[in-house]
Amino acid sequence: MFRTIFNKEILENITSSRFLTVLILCLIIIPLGVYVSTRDFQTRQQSYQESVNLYEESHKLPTDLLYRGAKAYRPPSPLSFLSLGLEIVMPNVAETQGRPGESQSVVELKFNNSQSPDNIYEFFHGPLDLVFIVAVMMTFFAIAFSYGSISGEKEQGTLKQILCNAVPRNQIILAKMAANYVTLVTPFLIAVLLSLVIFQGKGLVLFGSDRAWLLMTLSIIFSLLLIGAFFNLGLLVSTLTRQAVSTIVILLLAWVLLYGILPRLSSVFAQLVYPVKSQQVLVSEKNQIRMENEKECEARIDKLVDTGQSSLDKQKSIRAEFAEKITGSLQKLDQEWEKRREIQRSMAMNLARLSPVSCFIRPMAEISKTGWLEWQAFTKDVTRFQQVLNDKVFNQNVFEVTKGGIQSHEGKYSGPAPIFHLQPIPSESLVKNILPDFILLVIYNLLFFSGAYVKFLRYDAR
Amino acid sequence: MDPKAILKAIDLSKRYEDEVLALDHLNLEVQSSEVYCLLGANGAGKTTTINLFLNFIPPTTGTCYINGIDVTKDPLEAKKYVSFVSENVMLYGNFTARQNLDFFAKLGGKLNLTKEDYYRVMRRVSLQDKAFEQRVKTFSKGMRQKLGISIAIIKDAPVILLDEPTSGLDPKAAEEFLEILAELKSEGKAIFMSTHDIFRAKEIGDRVGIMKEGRLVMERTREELLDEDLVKVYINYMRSVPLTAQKELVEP
Repeated sequence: MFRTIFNKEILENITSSRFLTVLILCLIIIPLGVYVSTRDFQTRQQSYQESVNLYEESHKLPTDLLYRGAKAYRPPSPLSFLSLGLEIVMPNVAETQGRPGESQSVVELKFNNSQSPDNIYEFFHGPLDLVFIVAVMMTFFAIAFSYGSISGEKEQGTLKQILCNAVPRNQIILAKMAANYVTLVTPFLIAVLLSLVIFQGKGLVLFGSDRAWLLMTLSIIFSLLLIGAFFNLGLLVSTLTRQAVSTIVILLLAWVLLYGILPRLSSVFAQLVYPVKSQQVLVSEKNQIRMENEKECEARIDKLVDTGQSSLDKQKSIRAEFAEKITGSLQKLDQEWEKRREIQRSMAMNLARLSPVSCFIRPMAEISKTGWLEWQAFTKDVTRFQQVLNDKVFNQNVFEVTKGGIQSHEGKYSGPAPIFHLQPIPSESLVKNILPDFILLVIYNLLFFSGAYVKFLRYDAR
Repeated sequence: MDPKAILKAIDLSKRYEDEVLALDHLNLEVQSSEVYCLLGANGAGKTTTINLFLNFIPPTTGTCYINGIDVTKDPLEAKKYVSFVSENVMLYGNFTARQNLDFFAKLGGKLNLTKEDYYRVMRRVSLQDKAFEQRVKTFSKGMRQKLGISIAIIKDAPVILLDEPTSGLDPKAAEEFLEILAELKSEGKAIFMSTHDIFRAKEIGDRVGIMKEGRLVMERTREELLDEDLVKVYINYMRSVPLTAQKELVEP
């Protein structure tokens, strides 16, 4: 019986205009999205490569670091066609700020983002990456495929015709779910695979690491889970209503809520419940601390110079003392801010997880290396890089302030400027990060389908 | 009760959630090679009776049997012995007549039928050959009803339930439909048909029952109806005679 109903559903779907529509749209939109995204990636990659080459050319000597400053470039992710994520707002370059060479304490790394899309208009509507295609287009198709499964057949009168036979209801709902889901995701999978084959063949999809195919597979699994969640939600609502039109109205409202409202509200709610000062305020507070301490430091040095008790060692000692004090204060401020921001972010993220869409969008960014993990990894690696710069270069080249001005003292480091390399995120960290969302998506699928299953067993087919 | 009865309702009642008593202690039975026509106004309980036989709704009290099987206790087994034709046969519009027939034949347990088998059944109900491979969405109501009865025929169940099958059909199509029912009766099928059509009920029915407000208020055999004007009888029963005053409620 399962097979009979499964085959009928498949045949009914593939002879319907909605299947043809989904197939055509998938075959057009998905390759187009992949093409546009990979082209954007290529532009960013080219820009990154040019910047790195230029930097390496201009930083042959340690003194270049002292006068031109150090820079750490984050490479763009070749998987950004899956999800552009935070790519456009995430820092892609960190550079030294302040007067280099005075001491390590005043050499800080400032994060910047020099990226922008080709067409600024894109910002209004967001990118055409796979995340958009799945979260908007495919979830919508999922609803279109499932809303009439039960209430539609009831309304049409065919459900009664089926149920007057010795067919177990559980087989009907299972066959319907399986067949409709297969028909729904087939055009999607064909279009994704076709896009990859075409663009990989043309060298447009640049998989930078050997994990790329694994990550690609992961992203497809997440996509299928999100499509499944909306499909099963449609099936559930279809068993709760008696008319297909009621089903579609309820589902459209649910779609707006789950896609558009809930994820945004979670962020707003977290900001209201747990406010965190803005980065500008933080920078202003840090500058205040720095200025006060520097003023105090200069006052003490000036006093020594005025009283004729100044010496290089004494100046160095005072600067080191204040440098330590400033570093300590700034670090404390940073840590507190980061901690509060992390709490707020976690709160927003967990609230947003009430929507399957959020359980898809964020992990997709992490899989595509355009998410929060990448941001954190870059910040962490840059901090490590700063330490290398301090230890190897800046701490070895000190300047002395005298009555006659600044005098430099050549340090011990004479090799080429250290080059920044971003370490890939360990697989364990990625898995640990996306696992809760994966489990939640599975739960949403099971929950919605179980609801539909149980409800259908008692569905009034009259 | 007749032990030969293949379709039985014993003390069958249905009260819906809104407290409406749709069926009130119905007792009836239909034997093989018999056509039972159930007459009654809208809301009299005819469709409820069929829905109870098909286990689409559970009874409030009482039991119904198909081929001796309690429909409520073992609905899947009971449904092996019953076919159903609704007032408005709605099939899969994008499928051809043959594809629809194939699907429902398989659901009815007929797994190894050939295209010719389907064509033969469709010819039997007078569907034109050119319609066999046409999409059902292009069919007229008469054609769909014929296809509906084809589904019942191909399942070859001993009981056929029909819910106002001739409603909305033109006289010719309705006549053809009744001819098919007569053939099925002669093949030994028990046919239970709800209808508004008094004339055709008299024409084809071996027994005719009249329902009013959920109760079977009258039952006549074909022989009894020979001497009576069914129209008059029906109208009399439909007039506001209090149900409590009805004397002719047939005991099971």
